[in-house]
Amino acid sequence: MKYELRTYPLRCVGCLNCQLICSFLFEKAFNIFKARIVIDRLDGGSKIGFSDKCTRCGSCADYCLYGALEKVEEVSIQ
Amino acid sequence: MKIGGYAGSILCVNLSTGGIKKEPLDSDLACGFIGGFGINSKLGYDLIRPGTEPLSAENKIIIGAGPFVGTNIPAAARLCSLTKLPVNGAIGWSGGAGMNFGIMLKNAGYDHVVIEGHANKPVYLRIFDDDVEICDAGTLWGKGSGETVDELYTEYGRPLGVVSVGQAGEHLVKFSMAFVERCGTMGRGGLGAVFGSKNLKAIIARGTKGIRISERKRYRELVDHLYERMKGYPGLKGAHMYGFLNFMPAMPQEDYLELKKARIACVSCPIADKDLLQIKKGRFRGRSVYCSAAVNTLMPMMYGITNDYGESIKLFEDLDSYGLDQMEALELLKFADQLYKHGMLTEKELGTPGIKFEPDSVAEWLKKIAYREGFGDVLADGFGEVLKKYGEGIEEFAPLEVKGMIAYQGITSPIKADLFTTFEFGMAVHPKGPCAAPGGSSPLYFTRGRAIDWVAGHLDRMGVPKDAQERIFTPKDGMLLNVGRMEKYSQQSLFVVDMLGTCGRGQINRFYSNKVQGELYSAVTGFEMTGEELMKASERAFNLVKAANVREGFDRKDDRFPEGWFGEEKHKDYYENVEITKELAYGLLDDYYDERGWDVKTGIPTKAKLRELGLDYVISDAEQIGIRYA
Repeated sequence: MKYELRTYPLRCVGCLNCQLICSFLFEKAFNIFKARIVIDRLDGGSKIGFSDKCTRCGSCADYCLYGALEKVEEVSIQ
Repeated sequence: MKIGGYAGSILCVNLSTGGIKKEPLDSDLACGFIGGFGINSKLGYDLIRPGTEPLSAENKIIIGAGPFVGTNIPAAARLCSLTKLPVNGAIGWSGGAGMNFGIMLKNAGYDHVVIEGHANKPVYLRIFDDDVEICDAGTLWGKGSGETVDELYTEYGRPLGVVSVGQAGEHLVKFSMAFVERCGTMGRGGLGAVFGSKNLKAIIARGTKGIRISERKRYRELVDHLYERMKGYPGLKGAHMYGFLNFMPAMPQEDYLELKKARIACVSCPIADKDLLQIKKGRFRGRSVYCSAAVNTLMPMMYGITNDYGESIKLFEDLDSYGLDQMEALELLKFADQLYKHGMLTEKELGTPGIKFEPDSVAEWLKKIAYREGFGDVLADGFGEVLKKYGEGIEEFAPLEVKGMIAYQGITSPIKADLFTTFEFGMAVHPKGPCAAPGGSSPLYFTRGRAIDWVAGHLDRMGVPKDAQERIFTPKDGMLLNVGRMEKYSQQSLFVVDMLGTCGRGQINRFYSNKVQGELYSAVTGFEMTGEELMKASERAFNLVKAANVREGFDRKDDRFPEGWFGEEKHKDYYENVEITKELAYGLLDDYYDERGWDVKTGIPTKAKLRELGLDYVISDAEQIGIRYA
């Protein structure tokens, strides 16, 4: 299932839970550099982006406890 | 054999020779001592020889991150450091800090880093996967701990793990600390000075190797369950809004919201207790300041130096930037002022007529301490040295001193606490001296006065055996709960956290029963281990560090309660039935030693206890230097 992912960069506190779960699911190891969601920390909030490999599975949003990521809508069913 | 959760190597760096070695992590060491605190304790015992001068090239800086660090186990970013502390000569460890450094170190391939020697010029250590280099710190030397982070971010970008020291560390201030990416503190008792003595300004780490889990399915089920529980935690929303103030309301929430610029989390933390504040009024208007928690920026206000948030936050920033332990620094200034007022220090010695407790004067004094200027040079050696230097009769002006540092939480301490819990008790018995996490996670102020049944339930969760609970709940001198006996398990429980690498905050600990810790450890590493076995490993590591301190001459005489706690105002026991007199406190100390299986007379482990823990070699090592365990 694919989701539209909405981002709220100012809510991001830099816990990197999104990158951790993404890499664990797709790369079988915790490695933030291999995550398909990209977090660039700023002094207050983060810049949030997604790589081309992102499948929009929405797991990153499931593990974000701060409301910086939201899977709002199913966009297609495979 | 590759163990899940571990990176698999120890990085050994000699700054004198420039030698860099990657040693494989021995699986017996990893399984017998476990993670940050456990492996640090064995490395420290083996590598720091008795009598080592803390500020010499021979002393070691040991930093480790446990098997949970780098995974998505909630709040698993904790680091653990160990060194011989300049402030009192104890072999002291600090759990804490967090931020990004631990995950980056682990991903670079190292569970621990051991640094010895002395560089012939200021350097920083760069650890980027297998590319490890001792780099010239030329432009960084002389900068504050936070400015150092900024410069390193500019040069290398983010994410980057950074441990840095400020000017106080460079000038060997004996109570200077190291800081992790501006928000995490590490090494009360002078880790900063040990960095300075080695000409080491910072350690940076970035790693891309990944951390693997042994039993993925089991792990996923356990961690998903933790996330579900955390999502349902009633305190979560408040924690996100108000940070640590949600649990410790030290300032009005509306004042905090005005100052709050952003919340900051250590990696994988669900509550984000670090803050970026912005001063909104006064001469420092617009200034942004990073802090370990907003509540900590209020200390200058608690000392009566100012009643203005902006002034208080700026002084806090100075303290962190220099790398000074704020409790020690402010209490030492109070002490010096008292000595002056009682004619024990002259204006000539002090350089000023007393010490004015107002912002500019205090700021000037902090600079003097950090740079060892004037009488600041004397204060920079800490309470223990000042007391020795000025001789008998001045102890009464340092009523909170224990092992050369101050017990900062207690009935007459800067952080006023009226109950005699494991936190206060721990200030006296922690081998390194008073610190932020001396006595662990047993009932504190958040659970004041709860019924015995509730406390027993809490002890069950901590993994305290039933026979020990019986002893803990056997009434003594009107006290329904024996805090001395409880202290042992409270420490053991906390140091399991330091082994594994999860956060020590009560708001996090509440989700990790001893049983859950065992299950998670087994799933992560692939080595089946119960919570009970983790508690045993924690006890083993604690006794080993205690033995390292016995070699340095520490025993019962050093486990003192602050004299200032036995004046007119006294603590009460947990149920507020009894005032804690000196006699009662030292009676509880006997019980603590007894519960630990130590010799009550000397306050050190017995042969039987060391053998039970598989530490037989400690007995023969000690005999070689003339120490005999009973």
